[in-house]
Amino acid sequence: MILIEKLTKIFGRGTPNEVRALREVSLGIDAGEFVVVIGTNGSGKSTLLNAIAGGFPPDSGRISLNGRDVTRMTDHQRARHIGRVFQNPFSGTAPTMTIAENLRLASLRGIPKRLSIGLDNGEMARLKERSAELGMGLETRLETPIGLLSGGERQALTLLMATLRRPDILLLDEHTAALDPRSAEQVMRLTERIVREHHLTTLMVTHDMEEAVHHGSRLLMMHEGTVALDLRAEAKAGLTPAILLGKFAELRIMAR
Amino acid sequence: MELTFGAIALGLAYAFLGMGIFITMRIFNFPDITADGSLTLGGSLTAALLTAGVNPCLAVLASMIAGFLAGTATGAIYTKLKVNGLLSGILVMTALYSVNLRIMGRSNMPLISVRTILSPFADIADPTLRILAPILLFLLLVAAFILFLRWLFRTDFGLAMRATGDNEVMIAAQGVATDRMKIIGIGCSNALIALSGSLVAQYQGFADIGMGIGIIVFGLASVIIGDTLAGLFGERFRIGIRLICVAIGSILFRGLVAATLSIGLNPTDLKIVTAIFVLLTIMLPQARSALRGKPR
Repeated sequence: MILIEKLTKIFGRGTPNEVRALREVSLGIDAGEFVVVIGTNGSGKSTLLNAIAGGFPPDSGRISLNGRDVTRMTDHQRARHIGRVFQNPFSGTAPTMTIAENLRLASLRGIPKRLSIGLDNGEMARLKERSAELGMGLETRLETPIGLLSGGERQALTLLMATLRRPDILLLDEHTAALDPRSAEQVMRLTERIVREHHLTTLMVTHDMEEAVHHGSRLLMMHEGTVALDLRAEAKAGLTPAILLGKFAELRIMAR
Repeated sequence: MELTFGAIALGLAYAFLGMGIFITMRIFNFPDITADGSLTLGGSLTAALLTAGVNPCLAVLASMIAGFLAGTATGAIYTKLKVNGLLSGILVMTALYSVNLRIMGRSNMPLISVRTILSPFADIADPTLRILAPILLFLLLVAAFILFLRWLFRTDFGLAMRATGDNEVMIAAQGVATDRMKIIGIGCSNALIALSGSLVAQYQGFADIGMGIGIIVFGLASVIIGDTLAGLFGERFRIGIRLICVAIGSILFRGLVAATLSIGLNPTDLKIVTAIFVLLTIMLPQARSALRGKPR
């Protein structure tokens, strides 16, 4: 479970380019919730994800994961608890290293990397089994450098890597946005399956209204650094892309 | 004949320089030019210690440790003080010039009359064997270090090092403190470079304050030749083989230097020839693709 209290972040404070990315955002997410976050550009949705991951220290406010205050921890100190998939399929994998090597590093997320060969035959067999779960035939190509794979394949692997060790929270930052429609659909199907199978607490940022409507158990709409709309269960279930677009229009009118 | 053997022995001694540059350049993607200072550091510290009667093996080890520390200084300035990478190297390299002069107490130290790791071979009766022995020793050392590095980069720690150079965002998300990895990596690189300086000084029979000037380009040349060789074998990813190619590249490059000198080129012109050679080898792939009419 994750608790965010009065989180504020202002970029470029005191300059003409000052951006108030997060304004006293407070939010509680229960274990097992699949939260979809939408919002216009600059609404603060990616900043929120980044703040949880530890990409920057907030100006004020508190973030705690499972009762533990992580506000002042750096991204690599938090990594043990957090699985991340980025928008850019190239961000989540090391291209000159093999699939197996990438997966090995992911299975050590947050734990010390020792001076011993961890990628032995037993580990290879285990990684083969896990990568077979993706159903993309990647298990036969474990020795292939990841740079030779397609964007969709790399994103599916990043998703597997983020969940290879069970994270307390899975952060998905528009992770299908840079993919072609077919790969996007495939990665989204995988996401649903993995999240459900492992009962993962998930925060997914998307700009795709269809995705926002059809996935997740809760929906947040961010606007100008605040949570403008928070819909759960039945309210979320009844949504259509048209209703969401209407909500966006309302916010824009209210802003004037 | 003597010239060829000399080129091979020096090529092997400088192979460690190539491996060091390979680590920063190819694995960490970091342009480290501490090399000029750390190679001389290896040479001067070895010379000073040997002259003081220290066991040659210990002197070599001490040189490597000193090189490692020099590298960590560059790494720390770069990562912790957020100074530009090239400038970090320049700062440490410049500081090392004074350090090296302090260590030797003068600008040149002969090692003719002191015991070095090569001294045991001086008594070999057979003249051919006497010349071959240092080459064999260097070859063994190079092989041992390539095997060690191959192992290192396959360990979990080594995988994290490689990923740091390959995709920092990704490896930070796996919980690795990338700053620490870079500092250790640049340290390891400079330990190898100092080893190179130590061996070169012992083989040549002297250490000189100028022995490292422009040496980064020599190291770069062997890495580039090595990469080209590895490319010919279709080997772009396996580190052991790439390191072997770097060592061969170093020997080939020394051969080239020896050949250039033997046709009567003035040794003082060597650096400009090297610089032009490296420039040409870097330009070659571009020129080739330009000829084929497709942009890279």
